[in-house]
Amino acid sequence: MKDKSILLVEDNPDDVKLTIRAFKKANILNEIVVAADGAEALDYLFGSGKFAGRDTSVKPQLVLLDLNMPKIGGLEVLRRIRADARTKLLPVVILTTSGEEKDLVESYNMGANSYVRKPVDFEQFTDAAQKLGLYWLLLNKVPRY
Amino acid sequence: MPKQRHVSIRKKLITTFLTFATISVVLLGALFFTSARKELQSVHIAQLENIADLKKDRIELYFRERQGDIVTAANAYDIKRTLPLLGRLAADPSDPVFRETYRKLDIHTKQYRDVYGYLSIILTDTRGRIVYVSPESQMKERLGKHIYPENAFAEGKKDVYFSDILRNSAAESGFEIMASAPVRDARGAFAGVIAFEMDMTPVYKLFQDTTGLGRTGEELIVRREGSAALFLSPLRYDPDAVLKKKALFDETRAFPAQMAVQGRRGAGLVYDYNGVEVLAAWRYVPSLRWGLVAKINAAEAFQSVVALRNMVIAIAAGIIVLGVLAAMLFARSFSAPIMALQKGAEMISSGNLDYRVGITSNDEIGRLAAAFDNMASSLGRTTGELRRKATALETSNMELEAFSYSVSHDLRAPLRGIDGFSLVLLEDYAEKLDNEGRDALERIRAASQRMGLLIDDLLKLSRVSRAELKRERVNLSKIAGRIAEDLRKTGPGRCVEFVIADGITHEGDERLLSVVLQNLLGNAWKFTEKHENARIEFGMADCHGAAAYFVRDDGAGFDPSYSDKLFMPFQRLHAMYEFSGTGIGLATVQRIISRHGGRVWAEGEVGKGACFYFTLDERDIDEERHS
Repeated sequence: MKDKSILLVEDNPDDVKLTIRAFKKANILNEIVVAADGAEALDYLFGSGKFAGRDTSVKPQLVLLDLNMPKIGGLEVLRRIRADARTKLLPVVILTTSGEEKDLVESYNMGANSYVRKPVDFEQFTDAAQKLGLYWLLLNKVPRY
Repeated sequence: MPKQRHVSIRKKLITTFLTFATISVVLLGALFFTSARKELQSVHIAQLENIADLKKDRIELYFRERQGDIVTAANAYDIKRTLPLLGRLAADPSDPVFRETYRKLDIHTKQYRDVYGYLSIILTDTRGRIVYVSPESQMKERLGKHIYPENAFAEGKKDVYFSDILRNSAAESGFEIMASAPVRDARGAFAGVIAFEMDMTPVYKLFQDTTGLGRTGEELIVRREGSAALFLSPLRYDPDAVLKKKALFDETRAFPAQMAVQGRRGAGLVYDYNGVEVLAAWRYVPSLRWGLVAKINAAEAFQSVVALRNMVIAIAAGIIVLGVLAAMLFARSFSAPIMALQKGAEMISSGNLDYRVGITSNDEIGRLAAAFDNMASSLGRTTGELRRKATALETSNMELEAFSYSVSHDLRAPLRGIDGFSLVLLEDYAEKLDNEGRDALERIRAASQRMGLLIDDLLKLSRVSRAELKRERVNLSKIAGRIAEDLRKTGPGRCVEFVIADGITHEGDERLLSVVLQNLLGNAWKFTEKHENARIEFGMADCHGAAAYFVRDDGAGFDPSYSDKLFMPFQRLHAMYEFSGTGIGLATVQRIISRHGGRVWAEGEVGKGACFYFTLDERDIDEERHS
């Protein structure tokens, strides 16, 4: 199950906690790696900074990416993921509060695989997390590399 | 733009000037020429009349003198005494008595020949036969014959008579006139006739004097012969015309000669015997039955005025040429600044607001140019101001965008936290809370979710205000139909009849107009949910000649006294527990309709349903804003 981890890039600790709870409630037991901002997410993926020396061949099954974050924003993280040969096929789902058309369009332009707006109602959020996990972790097939 | 032929001011000015100058010069010239010609004609006519009168007087004087001569001779004692004797003796000229008598008489008559220049002196007997002729050389030929012309005897025996002009080779001029008068003897009985043959030379000399008649003028005498005028004097350029040349009365030429011989007196511009236009004066001399004409060619008479006319034409042509040149220069000085203005206008309209015409002349064009430059300056200032305002507006729009974004993102995140952790409490610590605690948590959750909706609707309203309008033909009926289908799916158990008019289209932004219909139809759906059977209608009505679209329902309706509050954000006419909603939908509708230049209003009554009307693309948007 080690290689079936989820990378959650989220700067709001409340959202981190609630997201993790939602996944648990949805019976998704994959390891959830949390990056508190874009820089940390990139460090984790490319084995730099505080993740130096990490075995980068171990990649998450899914990246849940917030857009509005300090230092490096979600769109920039996505651009770097898609620009790197090692990570360009990684499934990335934008999970954000923003419902702006602009953000939607730019995310898909950058190569996001999905865009999910976080609802205020936690029950709806749990429902969304369950469906996300079911789809991306069980149904969806990704090439082996 | 329809094509219009461009005619420059210069061309117009020159054409106008040329027309005006030519017309005025021609008119003035013609007026001047006619009046000068008329004046000159009257001067010439007066002169010709003077000449004609003078010549007539002279002729009459001359012939009165000759009359005196012959009367004196007829009353001379020698002749009165001798003539009866001669009548008896003349049968034999060789008779010494005749010869003696002749010689004695010859001494007396010789003085008439020598002193007065008569060609011959003739005496006849009572029957008209010549009994005496001086000079003697003619004796042989003429003695005993009847005197010729016959009138000389026939008229002469009554009174002094001047014959018509006759040929006579002996006369210096080749022509003579015979004057005759009766001679009476001592007892007063008719004894015969005395006749003088007079050379015409002295008369003709009178006519050779062409003083005052110029190069072409001449004087002539004529007499009537049947229906023609016969020329009696040698003409200036035709010395052999005497007794040969005639002018028939029915011809237009030789008018003055014809008038004269018919006893008329007059003057005028007429045609002479050569068919040449002349100024002439004509007189009649009754004692001799002569017509007298003095004339001068019109061409010569008017020569000075013609020369003057030519000079005037030359000067006028010169003035016109100079005028055209002046007009061209003036037009250039006039059109150059106008063209500069035109260029200025083009420069400014192409966006170069710093361009200045800079014409500093002190006339109207200068003032126009100054006003133009002022206009350009103020246009520049205004445009600058507008640009600054546009930039400020753009900045504030961007700030608003950023604000909306952070509202959307940053305000919702804590709400999710409040809701999420309330749920955590409810789920994980439910047994530690009593009912009141659990109820409070539920209320916290409901409130935070409601705030989420409010935020979302506010964002929609702000997006509707900021979104760019894309105009295309929108099929409102189709959109309404689609929305109706969507609504049906949300409440499969409900019994709602949708009546949607076909083929309603209008120019506008499809996405925004969809929002309008979503709100209006959504409201109708919502406010009919408590009715078992409902009817929702979308259609078109006539509103003061313009098309008004409406959405009508037979639902809860509203109190019409609050109808002005309907379209204000967050204003709700129904309690939360009755109908859900944020109170922003109709505000959004109004914003969209207003952006389409239309109006929206509602009619309704509590419990009797509501009808929402809206128009698009009306002119008087302001009216709606003020009301």
